[in-house]
Amino acid sequence: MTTLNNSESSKNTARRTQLFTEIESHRGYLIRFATAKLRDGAQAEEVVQETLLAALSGVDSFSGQSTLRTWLTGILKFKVIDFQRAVISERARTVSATADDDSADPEWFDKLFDETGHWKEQFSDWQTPDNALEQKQFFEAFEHCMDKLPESARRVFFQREVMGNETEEICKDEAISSSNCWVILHRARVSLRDCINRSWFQGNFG
Amino acid sequence: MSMRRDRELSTDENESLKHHLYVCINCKRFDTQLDFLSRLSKKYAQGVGMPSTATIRNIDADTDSDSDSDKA
Repeated sequence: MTTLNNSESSKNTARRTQLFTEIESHRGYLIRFATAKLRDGAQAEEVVQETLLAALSGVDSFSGQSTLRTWLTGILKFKVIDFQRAVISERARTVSATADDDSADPEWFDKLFDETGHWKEQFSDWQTPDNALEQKQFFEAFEHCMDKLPESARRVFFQREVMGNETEEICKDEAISSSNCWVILHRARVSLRDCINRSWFQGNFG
Repeated sequence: MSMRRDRELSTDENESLKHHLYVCINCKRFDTQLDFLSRLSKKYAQGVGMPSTATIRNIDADTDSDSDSDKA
């Protein structure tokens, strides 16, 4: 009996270790998601930590109807709301959405076009891009490219394209005008396209 | 091109963009790549490319069958 109990106990331990590894593998995405909402890396880490702990203790309620990431994101959304409620009275929105944009090279965007307003670069076709969507390394390259965006651009892009929020909501969240939001999104897309092109389709991975 | 992903374009803007994409191969290519970027972002949100939930299901199944055999 003791042997059976020991055997079950070690299986449970192995199962929990594997679950932990699997849930943990989504941490990077969850931190980006939380950072897009909270604008603060340290706070995002804290909320994600709570989310992962909640997920581990409630993993039995995961039915498999959605992907693991979608399930974790659902938990995270509630954690973010809880966190915002707790600090909303103390927090002042002081971060300007454009404050850090383009600070490294204010003219980088203009340099992409010639004097007639056309692209200087001749874009090449991406061969079978959908194949890249099957590769974990490609998503790592995508994350790397997102991390290179200015902080506010990263937040706005993430909210729009990854979270699928409407621009009105993002404008309100970021306290910026619609036109400012469109400019930030456009520049983020241009920058990401270029980064993915160089790092994957023309680079070492592709 | 980018803006049409974030707001509805007017009829004039749509016509103008359509015409431009017809004559500008480079822009057409850029537009296609922005479409791909959107698709990529959606897949990323779903966790495509990450370890699949099948692992959890398999572990559960293994644990259940092991428990059954243990009981037997």
